[in-house]
Amino acid sequence: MPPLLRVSHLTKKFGGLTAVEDFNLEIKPGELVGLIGPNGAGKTTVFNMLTGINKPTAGEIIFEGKKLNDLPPYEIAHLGIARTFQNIRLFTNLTVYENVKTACHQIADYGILDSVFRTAQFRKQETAINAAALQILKLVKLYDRKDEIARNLPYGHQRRLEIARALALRPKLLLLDEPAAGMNPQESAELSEFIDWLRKDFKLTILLIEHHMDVVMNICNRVIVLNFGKTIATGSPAEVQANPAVIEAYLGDEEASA
Amino acid sequence: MFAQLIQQIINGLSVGGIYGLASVGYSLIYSVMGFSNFAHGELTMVGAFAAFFTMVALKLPFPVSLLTAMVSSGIFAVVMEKLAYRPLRLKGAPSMYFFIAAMGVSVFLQNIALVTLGGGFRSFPQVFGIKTIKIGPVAVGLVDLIVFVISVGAVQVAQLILLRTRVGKAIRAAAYDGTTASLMGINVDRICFIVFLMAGSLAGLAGLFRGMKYTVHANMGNIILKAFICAIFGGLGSVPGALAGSLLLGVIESLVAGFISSSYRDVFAFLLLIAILLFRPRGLMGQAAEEKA
Amino acid sequence: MQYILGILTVVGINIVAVLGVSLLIGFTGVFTFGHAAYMAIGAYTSALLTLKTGLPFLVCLAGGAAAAMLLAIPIGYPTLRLSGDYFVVASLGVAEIVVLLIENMHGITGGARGLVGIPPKSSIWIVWLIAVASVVLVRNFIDSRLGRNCVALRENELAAQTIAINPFRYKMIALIISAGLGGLAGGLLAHYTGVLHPSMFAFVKSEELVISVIFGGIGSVTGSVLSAIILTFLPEALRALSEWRLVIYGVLVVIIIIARPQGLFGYRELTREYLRRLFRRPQAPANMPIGGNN
Repeated sequence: MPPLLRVSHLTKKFGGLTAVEDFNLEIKPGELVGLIGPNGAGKTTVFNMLTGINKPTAGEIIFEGKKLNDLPPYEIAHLGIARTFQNIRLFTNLTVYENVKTACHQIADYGILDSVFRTAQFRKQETAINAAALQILKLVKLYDRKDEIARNLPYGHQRRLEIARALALRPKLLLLDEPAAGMNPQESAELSEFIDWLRKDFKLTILLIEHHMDVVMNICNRVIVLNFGKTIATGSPAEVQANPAVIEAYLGDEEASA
Repeated sequence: MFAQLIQQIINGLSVGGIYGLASVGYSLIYSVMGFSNFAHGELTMVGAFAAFFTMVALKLPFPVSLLTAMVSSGIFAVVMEKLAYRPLRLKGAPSMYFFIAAMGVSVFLQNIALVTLGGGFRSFPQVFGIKTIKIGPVAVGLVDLIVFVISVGAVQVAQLILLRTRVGKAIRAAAYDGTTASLMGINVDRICFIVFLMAGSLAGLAGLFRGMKYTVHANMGNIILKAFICAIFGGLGSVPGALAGSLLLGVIESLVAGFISSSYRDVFAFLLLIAILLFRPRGLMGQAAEEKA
Repeated sequence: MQYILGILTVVGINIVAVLGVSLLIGFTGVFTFGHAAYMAIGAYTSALLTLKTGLPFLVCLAGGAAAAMLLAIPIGYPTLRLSGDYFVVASLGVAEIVVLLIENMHGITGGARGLVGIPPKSSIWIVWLIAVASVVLVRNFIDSRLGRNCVALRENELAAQTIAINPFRYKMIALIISAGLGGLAGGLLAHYTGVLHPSMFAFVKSEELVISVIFGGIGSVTGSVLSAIILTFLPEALRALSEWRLVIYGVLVVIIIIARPQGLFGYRELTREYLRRLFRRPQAPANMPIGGNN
């Protein structure tokens, strides 16, 4: 099977600082790959390059045979890569329902005149949007809170809403940036279950940044470990966990933050 | 013809110096706070009136009025920051809110000046006479020369403060990345205080000179558009860029007014702005900056 | 009676203009500082069409709106791709330039002496018909995929991009519609006053439009409409304070944006449901301490 995403020799420099160096990755459809590493290892920069927010200094990103390097974020999203952010970015003054409805906009293609004069086409496509949004809200168990303002949701629900908004794009590849951040063990266990279920039921391909090792170890097919922008290990969760370089990187990190 | 050209250029440089005083301060605030302070133009108006009344009503000598212009505009700037922008800064409000607050301050200052001081034009007393200096066939206005020298000098002093002092380093760190700076223990409140004080006093000087060269009136805040244009010419947020952009715009305007038509001078400046935004949006010397996600 | 009808007509015209600014500032998050320019273009274009061609009134109005929309393109195209400050600068510039050009093109516009003899065709009925239609159409636009995309940009531009919204495209759409409404309001104004003067579109006019949106609340059509009504009546009621009006507005704008940025009804519409909730709120359980410790 050809890879869905192929990243080769990806490098990003900010001024004199090399944030990511020679990053390589292939993801096949349906895989769930974990991207881990200590703080400042360059994980989010990889995501930012994959979604067009940062332009790579060198290297190549190929998604379904198409080069993404110079595309703006909205075109990459249109091609089927959706993401969430480490520091949640919701449409905070809108309701939960409105957040997801907005992200369903690609279902419809009616024009301005259809919208202001409420033509039959407008009504038909809006009905489809509403149905799709409600379905997603039921999936992520936010249906009961659909009329709440996003800003007022508890933290865990905000994370889930951001995933719901990404799902509304009907992506082929979903990038999750620390979805379990700030969650207690029970919440993060629920989340791993949810992500695993998403992959199977939606036939999604997922790339996951995570600090909670239990989440990564339980559900990922493969794990890539970054440290100071460099890839220090790849392999199955068990292999990576036993890798001395990884243990050292994580221990070093804990000593530094202790 | 040649003499006229030189005269226009020198006149342009002195106008450019005034724009520079306004746009450097505007640019400084932009680089630290990340928003366009519309009320910056009104600060020049405050300085112009303060200097005017010091000279006319209190009959104090010119250097004193120069000081009053700088001090009063500086104080207004600091108070403006404290009352209008600081609360928004502390709340982490979106930049739209800063725009709106700045517009409110601008409307307030402009109209309180109109109500209390009237809408008339006031002429500065002649400080340097209408003396001219002859250099060969070229007659240069003494006022123009003094305005140019002091303006460029004042901007250089500001630049030295930014580059050489500890406070200046902190300001540049804050301009580079506000959150990191505050994490590194830089006191953002103090930085804002100093930035507004510096930008305010430069604006006061701009107001005084503009008043001396033309007239003093309540709508002087309209210089803000020129300050914007100059800052964009030089690359938004860059202090040396703002000065270079200002001198350039001053000279271009002066040449357009002198050789084409004075009523289309401002139209020309604006068209130039649109052209620059189309072809060199980061300014003539600006570099592309990457946004952090 | 004539006087009241006159004010009501102006109220209707202001509603159309404020709606345009509201769509841009309140719903798309693009701050504009020179919207009077679009009103001026609409006013002069439609007035000149009426005077020179004698086409039907509604055709001339449409011509004015179209001219304003055309002007928006060269303003928005180079600036809306960049950060918000650039567009603000351009909007400020266009406001000055348009007035300057009107003053200098004596032959066509009558220059600073003004353009006179425009037939008074903006009856209160036509004005209010157009105002109500504008409110409904803008409301429909906002409540559609296009409007939601605009609102997403206001809320979080980066997040909006990651759900495949092209910021430039939707800001441009909002700007063009907004300029069109400004032009429409300008045309109505021209055919109401019968005379046009460049000073009618001075900077103060742009400021008043923005102030109306802020008072009504960011992201509320009903708020903008109500605030346009109140701010048109208020100066008439408080003539003694007319000088101080803008001084007070300036202070209020700062206070509102710091203390209650949502204005009167920000982010929400004044609907029956809203009112019901508003009046139900005081019926808190009796055992709740009043003014609790939150």
